[in-house]
Amino acid sequence: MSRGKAALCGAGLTAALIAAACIGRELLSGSRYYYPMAVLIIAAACVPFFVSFEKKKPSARELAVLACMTALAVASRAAFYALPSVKPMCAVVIITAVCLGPQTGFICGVTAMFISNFIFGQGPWTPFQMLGMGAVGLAMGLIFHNRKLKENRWILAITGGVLCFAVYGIIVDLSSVLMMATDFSLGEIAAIYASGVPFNLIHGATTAAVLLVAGKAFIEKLDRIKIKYGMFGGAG
Amino acid sequence: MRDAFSRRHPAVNLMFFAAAAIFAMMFDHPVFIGISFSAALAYAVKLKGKAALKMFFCALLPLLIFVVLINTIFAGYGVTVLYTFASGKRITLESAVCGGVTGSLVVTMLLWFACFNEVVTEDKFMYAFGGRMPNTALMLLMVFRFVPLYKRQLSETLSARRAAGLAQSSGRAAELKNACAAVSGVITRALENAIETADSMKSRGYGSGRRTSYSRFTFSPADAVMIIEILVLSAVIAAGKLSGFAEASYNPIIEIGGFSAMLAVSAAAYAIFCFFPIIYDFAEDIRWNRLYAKT
Repeated sequence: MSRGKAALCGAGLTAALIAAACIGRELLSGSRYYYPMAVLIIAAACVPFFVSFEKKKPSARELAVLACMTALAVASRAAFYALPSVKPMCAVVIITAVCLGPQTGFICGVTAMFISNFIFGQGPWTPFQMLGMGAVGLAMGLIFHNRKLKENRWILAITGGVLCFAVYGIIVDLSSVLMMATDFSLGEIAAIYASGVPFNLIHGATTAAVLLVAGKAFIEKLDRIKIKYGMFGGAG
Repeated sequence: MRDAFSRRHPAVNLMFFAAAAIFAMMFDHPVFIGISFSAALAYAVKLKGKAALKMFFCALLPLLIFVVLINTIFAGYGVTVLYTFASGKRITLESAVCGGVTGSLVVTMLLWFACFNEVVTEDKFMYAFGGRMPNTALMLLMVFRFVPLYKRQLSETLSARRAAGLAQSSGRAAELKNACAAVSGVITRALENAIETADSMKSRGYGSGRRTSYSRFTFSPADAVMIIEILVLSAVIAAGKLSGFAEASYNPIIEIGGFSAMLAVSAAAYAIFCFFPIIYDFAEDIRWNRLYAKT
């Protein structure tokens, strides 16, 4: 299959999933079905990234380094098993995105979340966590990849912490809203979001702290590998 | 030991959990919610023992109470007013009941997921989805392998540092510094190692053709029978749902479908379906004991 054809298939699949979600929304009455429709749209959002990852035929080295960074992210989450929300995982995903690009960052975030949930337990929140972590990776990659900006550790840490708090928090707490709310009044939604704010604050602060302390050293390590072996567009 | 249902083919496991989750979401009728909830709780206790009960009482019950409270306080619908605040805000029976139903559904779903996590392990998942997306599957497989490897390398590094006399100063700050140095070493080693792994993969023919994968699961006639059983039960349950006898609504007034023959048949099918893994395990036990008694 050529790349153009693959892109077309991916676009078709995305459109079909979104259409299914919209039609399902029309046919199935009741707010309970918001959740499965949201999961369909999340799947649609992930399709283009994974179709292009499948069709791009990454080199063995790129694949191995991506797997390595994802495994480090998973291990960093598993290391703090006992403390909820204190997870350096988001920081590792951000570092991957900053060094290896937005698309790689997205894939790293999505798969790291999925795999670590085999340790922490899969649940209705899994698709939302995957998309949330992927979105943070994508955004950080778009802002910092191949820019001098990433060398300023304060800007990196603050942007990372804020995105982790806001983007990841909003996407993940949406799963609670979709599962728990029955009225979908503004007050109810705000109350459910408010109950998640402390956890998101700790998560965002942890991410910012890890990026501030270890971000620069970690980025240097990854950049060194990238340049040494000429991967991900690094000079060979 | 793993139960008999967990030892079946991944397709059977996945199909059962997918159907259980869809049905759990579809039914509003208290009888059906009760069936799914008790089956999920019983199976979770069977698989995880005391840990499942601890999860239920320490995490799921508080969650249920939280959902009831959120809906009682913030939802505005309902006709049976229980209390009116000075501001004119009303607390209604319907919103409390609806919160209870939604909360029980969430708890049931989480219990099913707890069972899912025990039954559908990583290898089963890889088997079910690995064929479609070879690059992604390979990457997932490598991550599954790297995580325990890095954990081991970290403990190796820590003990090497201790042996070399680099971790002798005591105190929180010194310990943290030592841990950071060890983690830094592990990261560098992991990245270099990944390149070595990649070169080794390449020299063994990565990218030169279609990847094949080994699997230790075989699809037996018994698995086919189980899939047919699940499909037939699902059809009966779905027929009960579509016929409208198992309806209940809580908004704006509480209406629950009364007893009917169709409801009874559908509920019976639902009970057999939800308790399917437990029944199957029990039947296998009986069969084993009979065979054992013969010898």
